Amino acid sequence: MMRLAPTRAAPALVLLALAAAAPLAAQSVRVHSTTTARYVQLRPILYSADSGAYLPQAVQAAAPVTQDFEVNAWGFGTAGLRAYGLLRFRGSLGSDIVWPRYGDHFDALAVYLEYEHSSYRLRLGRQQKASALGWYGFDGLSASWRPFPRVRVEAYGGRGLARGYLEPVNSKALAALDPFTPAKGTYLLGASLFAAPSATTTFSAIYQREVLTDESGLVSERVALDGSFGIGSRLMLTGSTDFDLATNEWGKARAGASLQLARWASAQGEVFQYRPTLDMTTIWGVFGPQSHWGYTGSLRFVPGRAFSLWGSYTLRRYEPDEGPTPFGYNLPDSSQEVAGGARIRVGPAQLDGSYRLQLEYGGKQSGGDATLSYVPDQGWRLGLRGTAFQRDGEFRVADGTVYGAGFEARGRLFGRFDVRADVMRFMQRKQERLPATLAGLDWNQTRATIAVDWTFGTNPDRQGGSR
Amino acid sequence: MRARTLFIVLALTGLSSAPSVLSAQMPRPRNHTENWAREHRVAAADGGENAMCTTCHTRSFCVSCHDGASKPTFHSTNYVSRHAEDALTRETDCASCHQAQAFCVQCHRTQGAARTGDPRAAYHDAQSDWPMVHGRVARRSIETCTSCHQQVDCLKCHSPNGYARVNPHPAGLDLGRMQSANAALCRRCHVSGPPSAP
Repeated sequence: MMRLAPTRAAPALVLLALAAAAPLAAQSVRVHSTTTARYVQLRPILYSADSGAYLPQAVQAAAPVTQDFEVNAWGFGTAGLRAYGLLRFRGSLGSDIVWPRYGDHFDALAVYLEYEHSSYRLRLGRQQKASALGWYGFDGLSASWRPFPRVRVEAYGGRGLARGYLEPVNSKALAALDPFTPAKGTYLLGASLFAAPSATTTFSAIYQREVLTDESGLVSERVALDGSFGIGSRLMLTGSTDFDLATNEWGKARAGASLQLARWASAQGEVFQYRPTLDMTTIWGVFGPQSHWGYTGSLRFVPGRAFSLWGSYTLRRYEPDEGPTPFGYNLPDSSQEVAGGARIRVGPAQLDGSYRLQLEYGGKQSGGDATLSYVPDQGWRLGLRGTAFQRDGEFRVADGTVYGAGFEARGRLFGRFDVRADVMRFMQRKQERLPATLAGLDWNQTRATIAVDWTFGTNPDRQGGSR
Repeated sequence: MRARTLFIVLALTGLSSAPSVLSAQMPRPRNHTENWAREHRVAAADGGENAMCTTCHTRSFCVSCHDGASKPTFHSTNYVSRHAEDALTRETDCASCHQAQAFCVQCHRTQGAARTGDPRAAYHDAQSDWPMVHGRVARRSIETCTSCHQQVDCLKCHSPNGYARVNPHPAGLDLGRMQSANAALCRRCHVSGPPSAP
């Protein structure tokens, strides 16, 4: 059985009690269940001191299984009162290797009670805040107020959770992974403003601060702006940016435009800057990570239901290298990416294809995917998949090409269960340009996924998990 | 025991009786194109209950995505083979959902693709000079480094207590501001020194 440390057990039990008790008292309960099982073969590599290279080992497999329950309960006798829970159970079926996080068998991804009034909303419990700053979880209270239609002001705060982990940053689980985790937990505090002054214009601003619970230091303090502005019915301008008040540096930024050229054609362009979000629970920020700029443009043509075509180009500009090292090694200052795809549909048959090529900094990568599907009107989809990719430089798949083939299927069973399944077999063909000792990874392996979605209980109009 | 617990949960899920869902099929509006999931917010912002959305959708339909948690989904089956492209270019911010030590390092170690401070540079394309040139790459793509390396790996050289005592702070970094914000961060290297790898 899963063993919980006392610090984790207390809040977990409270959340479980809330999750279990609320539906019992509610008159209306809707539960959405998602069961996902995967089979993933991996071929580890091992450094050989004799040959001075990494050599492929025998194939090992992981079979992670995830069960998600999303619970909505309302009808407690008070209009506007709702309980919400998103619970995840994890396990492995006969795995040779442990898939990330599958030693942790339960997570309350979100569990809260909500009271919604026509002009304000209160939430208490474990929540996730998604904004231009990213995705943050916390255990606490959020309150939002709508002083005018289309305007919302929100404040939130509570015990902070580590990004992407939903445990406090000082939890034993994280300390076991990295000896440098902070000794203290964090408080997360924030406030945001959202406004939609017109049907095509939205604006949001957010301020967020994380501090250590003993108030000895700051973890992060950032602000972000995000907005979109429609001009006529054809042009949409969007933009977002964030600023790190703790380090006095700009973070990510995007400015883009989307233009409907004609009924069957559209174009998009965007300028962006990327700088990693590194809070002060790690040392990475003091290494002075650089940002990079990027420019991307894409075109999409949809002349009819039977055919669509798209293409895109992205250029990334990095801060210039300081010059060659004594070893004569230079870094390229840019990278380019070209991608394109098409869809052809004839009756119930559909062919999808896409290709992507990356060049320069970070290694060369190229890959394409194709799927031939049978898509009748009943919502079923049966398809054959093919793929091929090459990767050179860092994270290479040795010197050669990986080919993959498999099939996919999705549909509704018994009018209730949405089923998705796919399986792929990958085969590597080496080009033998390198000596065998430097051949590196061997990607011959199999992957498969099956997932079942179903909704039961009081259900207004939801058809399936994919909608 | 763990597998049995999971099996019981799954079995209970499958056996529990429940009313069937509404199965009425409505024609899909023309404006619900492939990009609709991204674009619908503008139309929806035009008045909540009074918007056209409510002609077909009840409020709970919106709730299933917006008012609940942003439900995490799984990448496609093929993604474990192809994620390096997105991770390197930062096409998406992986760290928003994945904690690097738990997701990246753990799996890369399982695969043998992660080292823990060993100066041998075989994995980095067998570049014998990798320790001398890695700094430039690290400043550009430090999140890529952190997908295999722990903090302690870097501090074995980049610390007053490390082997080589190489200063990692670039010129222009406002160290005073960072120290006033969180002095414990400075002490991690300058006082206590790097701990041993787990």
